[in-house]
Amino acid sequence: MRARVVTVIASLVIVLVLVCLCRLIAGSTIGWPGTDILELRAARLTSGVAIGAALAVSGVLLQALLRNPLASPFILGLASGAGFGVVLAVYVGFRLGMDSIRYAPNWGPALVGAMASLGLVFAFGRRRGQLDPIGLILVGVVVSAIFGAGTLLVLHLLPADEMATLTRWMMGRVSEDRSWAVIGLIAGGTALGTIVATWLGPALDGAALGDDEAISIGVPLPVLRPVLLLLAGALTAGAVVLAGPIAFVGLICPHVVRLLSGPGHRSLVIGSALLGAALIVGADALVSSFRVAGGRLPIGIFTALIGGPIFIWILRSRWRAGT
Amino acid sequence: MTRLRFDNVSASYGRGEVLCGVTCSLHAGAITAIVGPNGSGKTTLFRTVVAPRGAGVRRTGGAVLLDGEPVEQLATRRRVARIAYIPQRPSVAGAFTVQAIVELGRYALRDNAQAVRQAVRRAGLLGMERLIYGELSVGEQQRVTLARALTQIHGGEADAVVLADEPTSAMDIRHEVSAMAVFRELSQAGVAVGLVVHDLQRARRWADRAVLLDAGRVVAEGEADDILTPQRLGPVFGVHFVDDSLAEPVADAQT
Amino acid sequence: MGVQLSLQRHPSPVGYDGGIMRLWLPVLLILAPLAITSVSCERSAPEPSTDAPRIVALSPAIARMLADLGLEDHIVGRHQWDMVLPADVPKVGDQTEIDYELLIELEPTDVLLQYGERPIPARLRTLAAEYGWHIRSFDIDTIDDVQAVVKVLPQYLSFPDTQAGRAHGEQTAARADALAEALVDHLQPRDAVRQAGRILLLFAVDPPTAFGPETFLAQVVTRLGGANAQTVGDYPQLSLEDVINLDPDTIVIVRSADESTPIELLAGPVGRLNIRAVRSGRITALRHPLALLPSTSLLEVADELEARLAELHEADEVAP
Repeated sequence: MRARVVTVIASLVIVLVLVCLCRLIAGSTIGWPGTDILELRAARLTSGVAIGAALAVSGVLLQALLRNPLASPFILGLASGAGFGVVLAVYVGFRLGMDSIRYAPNWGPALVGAMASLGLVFAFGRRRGQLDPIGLILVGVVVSAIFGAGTLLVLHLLPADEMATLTRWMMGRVSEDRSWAVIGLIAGGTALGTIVATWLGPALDGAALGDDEAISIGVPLPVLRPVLLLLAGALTAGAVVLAGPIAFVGLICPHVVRLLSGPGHRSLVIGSALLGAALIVGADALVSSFRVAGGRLPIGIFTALIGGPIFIWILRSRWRAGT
Repeated sequence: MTRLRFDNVSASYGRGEVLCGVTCSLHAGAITAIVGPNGSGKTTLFRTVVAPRGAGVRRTGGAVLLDGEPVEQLATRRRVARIAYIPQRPSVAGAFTVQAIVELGRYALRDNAQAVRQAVRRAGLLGMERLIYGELSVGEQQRVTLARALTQIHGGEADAVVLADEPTSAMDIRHEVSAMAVFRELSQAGVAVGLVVHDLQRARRWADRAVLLDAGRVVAEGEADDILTPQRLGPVFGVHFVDDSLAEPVADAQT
Repeated sequence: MGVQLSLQRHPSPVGYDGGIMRLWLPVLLILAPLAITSVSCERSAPEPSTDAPRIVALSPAIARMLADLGLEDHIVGRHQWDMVLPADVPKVGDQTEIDYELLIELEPTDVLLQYGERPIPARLRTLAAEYGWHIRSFDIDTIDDVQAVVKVLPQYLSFPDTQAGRAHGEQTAARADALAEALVDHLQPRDAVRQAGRILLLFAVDPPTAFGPETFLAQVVTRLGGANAQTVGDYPQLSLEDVINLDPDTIVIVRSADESTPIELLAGPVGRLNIRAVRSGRITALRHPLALLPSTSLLEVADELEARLAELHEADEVAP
């Protein structure tokens, strides 16, 4: 088992390195670029690694804590919360004539929106003072729907050019309008979050038991749940800041790694972070090297197109295996 | 000697009390059967011990004392090393192996490969270590949970409590007998064993002591032979027994 | 797939309903003011006193043409996204939905649409037959379309069959001819645009989104003697890398923004690129709110574009 885990992690590291190399040479022209373009590609590469790792680790944490393999940052409404935050900020800036809000990089409101929806899910997904796995998912779906409707409402009130811009933002893509400081902050935070999650791997294993049983073997579940939910929320918010809403990465990566290296959460966290990073960087390299209708495809469309079928395939194969 | 004492314990899931001032004890070196009709509070009684800061159930009054010390004041490691819990319906999310689940018994404690090996053998799981827990039958899963609990209290049996909530309900007869033999051995080593059990004949066969619960209150507590009698059990369960063997109960007519 | 969930001893789904209901309230409270601000300016009482033609212009482009023909007071209903007419003109609908009830209340004589190849809804046709409305749909994509539509527009309007009405119709037709001619005269190559080199028109900056050669604004640039740097697509989404490779001489950010908004804010990451247009400061913004509208407003838009590019040119001459 240990040998298998090492093999899987090593393979994923190699895949990630190769994909990163591809990202650096892929673009409007294939090949090693000049300094200016190299800096742009390096920034997108770093963003991509952070986005993928953050979403995937967030997915692992949520699935473990809610004991629900369908949990993911997006099902819990974080993405729609972030989306709503962004469009609301643009609308407020537009209405009040405050340029500093209207044209600001949208990461502040995205963060507030993601955290607000997490707060709502957290506040209303509890039963008798306890976070309840089913309750969280249900409330997440409802919060997601409400924020989605709010987003559509606000879009409706904006002028056409703003609406078109925001609609593109909501398709998800690796933003190029982020300074190295912001990218560095989020990448650093993601690395830190991944380390914390890895360190807590055995606790997540323990949480695989029922609540009472987990507590009886010493897993500090009542403390662990809120702390790790917050960590998952922060990771997702970071990814949304860099990319807008990108679906399926947080759902798919933990599933694939679980199939490869087993259920242990130490290897699951590390493997998912690597796979998520490779997935986003690879997808970004791909969308950067060809044009659709004269332009680049938003990466969010790409991940959903690839991720959806993979998810259904995993679901089917697990059903066939009878688990 | 009293190891674990429930002192006037009340508990609630939010609306209405499930336990109303329960006072009873688990004695060191004895198997205490907890019996009572569905919903009488047997499982809740155990949950007030293992999850003192609550996972759903909330203790609204009284105290649970381990050798005189409130359980919620025990440091995590001490509590884990001394109180093991075998839930009625163990569940594991994810494709963990039998070995991994049994090792979780040492989660908060120092790793102990020998404890794991010994527990696997005592629960009759030799050769099954690499199987996936979720793919086992419920009876086999119950043996894994038993092994996990044995791993947890390994080396500290003389001071330990094992709370087992219908631990053998899905086992075949051979494994039930050997599992019960394990509980017997544990009690002989000094463990205070609490055993929720539905089968009253088996309760009388295995238990040294018994606590009879009804609607969240203790109806009777004492030596198993004194408590598990047709006279005491009949009114609580709403049945009458044809003889002292507790076999073939007949339901009372509905009034 | 084994969805394993820890069930409570006494599951009570009812408990959630309370939670979810409580959830709605704060959200509704947040959204209510937004909804009210939008609703309050939408419906005002129709004014049946207006003389014929009573026009519902379900197209901002047509609304602008009518206004330029001096018929603004005859417009009784407008498009959902209209940004041309005063706020008190009721909004009747858009390409996907029409408020038929409001339409009937407005008692129009003419309903003008810009549906292009989209069929006119059957319901609208039925109601038109019933109430005697004249429906006309136009296809307006190019500068030639604008010219053609403005010229024929008066023919389709129901001026009253009175002496005054006929006079009004003739007068409007004369204005339309003049306007169509003005469009031809106005859209001639201009120095400031010609000297701007290859112009990259950007609709958005993160990601950079360009105006392709077939877009209305690119046509305006071409007619004014300019070269559109983006040579494929409608509104293609680019990367900064693409912008570097295009290496335009001049960048124009098209945003309906206030004069006071600095160009740095509008240009975002594009303004920080190390490319010729940025280095030489040849980056500007076209802030006309109707910059994207294929209508007679393009006369103003063309002037505005020329003025912006001339500013850059002057700055070049001042600098060594």
